Amino acid sequence: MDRSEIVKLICQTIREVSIGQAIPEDIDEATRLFGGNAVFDSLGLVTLVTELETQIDDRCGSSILIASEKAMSQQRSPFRSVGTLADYVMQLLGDEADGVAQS
Amino acid sequence: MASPSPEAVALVTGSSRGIGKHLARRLVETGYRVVGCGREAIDWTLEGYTHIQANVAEEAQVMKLFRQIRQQFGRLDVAINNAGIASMNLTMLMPGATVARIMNVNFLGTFLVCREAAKMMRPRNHGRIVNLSTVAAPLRLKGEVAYAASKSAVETLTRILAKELGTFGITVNAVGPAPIPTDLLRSVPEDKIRDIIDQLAIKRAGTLDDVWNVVEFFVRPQSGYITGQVIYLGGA
Repeated sequence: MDRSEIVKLICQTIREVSIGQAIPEDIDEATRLFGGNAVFDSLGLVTLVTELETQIDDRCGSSILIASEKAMSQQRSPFRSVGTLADYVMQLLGDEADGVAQS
Repeated sequence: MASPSPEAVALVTGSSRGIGKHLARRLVETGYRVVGCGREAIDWTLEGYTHIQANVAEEAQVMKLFRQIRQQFGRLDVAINNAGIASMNLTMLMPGATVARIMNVNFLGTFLVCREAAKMMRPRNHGRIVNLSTVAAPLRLKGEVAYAASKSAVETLTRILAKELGTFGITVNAVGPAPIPTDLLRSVPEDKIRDIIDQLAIKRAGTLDDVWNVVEFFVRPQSGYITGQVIYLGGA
């Protein structure tokens, strides 16, 4: 999956896990996921992350853990916005591909 | 017990033999489609039962196991964390590697399966997780420091996870069996088992159906308001 497909998948997953909740109509790379004026509370973010992991596994066969120690220890959280999350997912998919290639 | 939906799926870890095999068989009889897992292939078959080779202490293998369940069955209703190992030795004679192995299978394995099970159960807002503990934890048995401590960790995990997952309609409970004649106890001397039984309120060894009785209680639909509980067999 390329970055634009990941962004699209994140936006689609946000809509799916937010059914029945008030979320902005236009969700794009700049949409804030967590913190002030964000789409999700902590429970919502857990739901988004776990659903996203499942979707990526089903589509790419890649078992990545988005909510990892690495993500939590970054100075700037990858969960700030759709765009930063997409960057982080791309990085994880790249790391996994490198790991497979080296093993 | 009321029959589950014909599509309902249950996972039993460590189902090759002993308690796990018995629980898998009972769940099939109850109407579940059952997936079992173990480190090795099995030499028996059962209609309604699918066996997948996986070591629960290996994160990648657990994630692969759940991918297979998702692709083959599309849902998970019940997860029984039964896989476990034991090694009896006094602390001053216990190698660190043995302790690490016990903690990895008994605690880390249970943690990983709980985590992935919760992810699969969450979208349907329903699930039942049952973890296996032991009477060795409350009885504080000499020579079982690693095993009992690993199961104490499982009990704490059970209680905390119950709070984290309650909002998703997922219950998490544990059952602590008394000594039951299985492979796990094969190497334990008879007088040691007698010592344990003497500390119970009911002075007999447990049976496989004693364990099933508690598991069946936890997983039944009417038990949706019971979570974070640990039930010990025999009155430990």
